[in-house]
Formats: sequence, C-alpha cells, structure tokens
Amino acid sequence: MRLNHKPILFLIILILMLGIAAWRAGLNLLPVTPPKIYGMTFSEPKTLAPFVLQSAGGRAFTQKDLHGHWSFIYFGYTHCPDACPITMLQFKQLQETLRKTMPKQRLAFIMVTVDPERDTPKLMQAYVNHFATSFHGLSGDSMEIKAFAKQLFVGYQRGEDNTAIGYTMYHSDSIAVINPDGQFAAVFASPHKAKNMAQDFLKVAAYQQQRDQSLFYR
Amino acid sequence: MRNRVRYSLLALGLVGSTATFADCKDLDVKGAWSRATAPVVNVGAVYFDLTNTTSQAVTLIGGSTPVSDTVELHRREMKNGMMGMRHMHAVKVAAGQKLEFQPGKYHVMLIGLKHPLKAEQVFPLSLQCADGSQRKIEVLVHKIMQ
Ligand SMILES: [Cu+2]
Repeated sequence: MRLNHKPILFLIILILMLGIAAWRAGLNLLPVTPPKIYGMTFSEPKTLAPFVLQSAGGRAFTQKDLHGHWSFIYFGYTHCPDACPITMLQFKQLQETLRKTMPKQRLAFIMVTVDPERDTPKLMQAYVNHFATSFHGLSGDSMEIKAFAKQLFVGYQRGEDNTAIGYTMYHSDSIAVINPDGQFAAVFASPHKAKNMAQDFLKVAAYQQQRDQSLFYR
Repeated sequence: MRNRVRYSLLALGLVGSTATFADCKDLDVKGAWSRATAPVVNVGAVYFDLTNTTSQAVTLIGGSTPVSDTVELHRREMKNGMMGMRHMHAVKVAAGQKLEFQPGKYHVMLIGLKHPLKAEQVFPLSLQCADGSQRKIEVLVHKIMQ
C-alpha cells in the first residue's frame, strides 16, 4: 500500500510559510514578558475609567487627552518645596534626554495637585511653567482627583497643621506612565532619577511595541 | 581668640567636655543652597551640611531671614507609604554629630517668601538655637539642582 504524503507535506510548507510571513511582518507568535524597571511594568496595561480634571483657562482635561502620546503623571502640590521641585527637575531632564534619544516620540509631562483647595488650575500651570512651559499643570474637583489618583495607585492625605504654611500633604511619590492608548502601563518608583527613567521608558515602550505586534494578544 | 584658647586647653586635656559651653555660632555649616522658585509659590527650602564640632549637644529650634516671613525646620518622612514633611520644633544635634539638611532628609523651610528666589542670589539666614545663640549663614540660590 502506498501512503500519500502530499497533503502532509503541503501542510508543513504552509505552516512554515505563514510563520516566516508573520516573522517578516514583525509579528510575534509568542507571549512577551514585561521588562524589569525601577518600579513596575504591568504585563497588561490598565484601561482607565473616565475622569474630568481642570487645566488652566477653564479647559477640561479628560482621558481623551491621554491618547496619541505617552504621558508621565506626577501628583504633588505647590506648597511642597522639597520633593515636588525635585521631581519636576527630573521631568525636565527626562524630557531633554528623550528628545535626543527618541525625537519622534510625543510625550506629555503632567503634574496633578493633591491639594485642589489651594492649587487652582491656573496656579498649577504657572507652577509647572517654571520648569518647562510644555508641562501640564492640573487641578479640579477634589473627588475627581482622588478617584483619578487611586486609579494610578497614588494615595494622599492631609498632614499636620502645626506649620506656618497652614497644612502639609502626604502623597505617594510615584510617577504613572500612560501609553498612547491612554492605558496605565507602568509605575516609576521614587527616588526619581532622569537617567534611570529614560532607560526604563525605552524598555516600557519596547515592551508595548512587542505586545502590539504579538499575535498572542489578538 | 577665645576658641583658640579653648582648643589649646582641650588639646592639653585641661578641660573636659562638660566644662565647655556649646554655642550655636560655632556650628560647622557647609554649602548652603536653595532653589530658584516659581513666581507663584511662597515657599522655599534651604539645604546644607551641618556638623556640631562643639563638644556639647545643641538644639536648633528655627531661624529667621529677610527673604521670608517665617523659617521652620522640616524633616521629610514617610507615613503609610506616602511622603510628607514634618515641622520639627526642636532638632537636637549631639556633639560631633553631622546632620544632613539635604533633599529627602531635613530642610529649612522658608514660608511667606517676600520675592521669588532668583538664581545666583545670595541671602542671609540665621539659625536659632534653644539657648538663644545663633548661627548666621549665607545661602546661594541655584538655578537647577537635584
Ligand atoms: Cu517643608
């Protein structure tokens, strides 16, 4: 009895050709693992619930404003003379570094106040302008800010009032990294160093690209 | 001159540590700096390295400066995983102890700035000790720092 090998051979060649085509198209058939950074990269980016914050000039800032570019979000307040200026200066250095290494990448640097009682949207924008006029300073309704911060794993609370500034704020010192689909992709832990963040961002962006090209997630 | 006499006596072992009188003005304070501030904020921070080179503990309680209404000593601290700062009404510095007034540790908090702090500006700051003595320092404002 003669076995007909033709259909099997045909199938093997077909699979091979499909594999090569996928590979040539930059598609990955295997799952990819999130990179290790100083902080955390989520294996699956988290979609954010809708929110409404306020930017200077009475404009609303919503989840739609996080689409089409990467964003770095930090929470602080203007009566903070120590940690907040340090992070803003690191943001500025990060922006300068990434402009050189990834000139085509669109990036947004955002600071949201945890003290909307004292920090108006106008004040927040004036504050970040001191570091870079391309930065975004946001305030808004205290409940909205609280819910938005919670989504980004940021907590804050009022501290003692035994100081001449009235009261201090305690807040998480992390930076949230948002991908161009407006999803929460990674957290940068403090202390923040622009050089580390630049390297970590390349890893996070590369991981996102691998994920986008992987057939495993379709 | 008084210092030189005291040090000579110390070197000879003629005076014990309890016999000398610690004065705030003898504190070793190095590299005092501050950051340029945004025109819209009314607070600032001053940093330096402080070493109590005297033979007795001193207690810092605050200070004064012509550039702000109030001067407080603050310490960075963590609470429930969150970062904040605490107003320290008294900071004791043991004999020989070095205390870093640097980002993430202690800072001298300037509250009610009369004008924004500008890069290259130098301003005086007087640190106040519990015994009434003072240490006067000059603070240089930096444009960009860590
Ligand atoms: Cu402070």
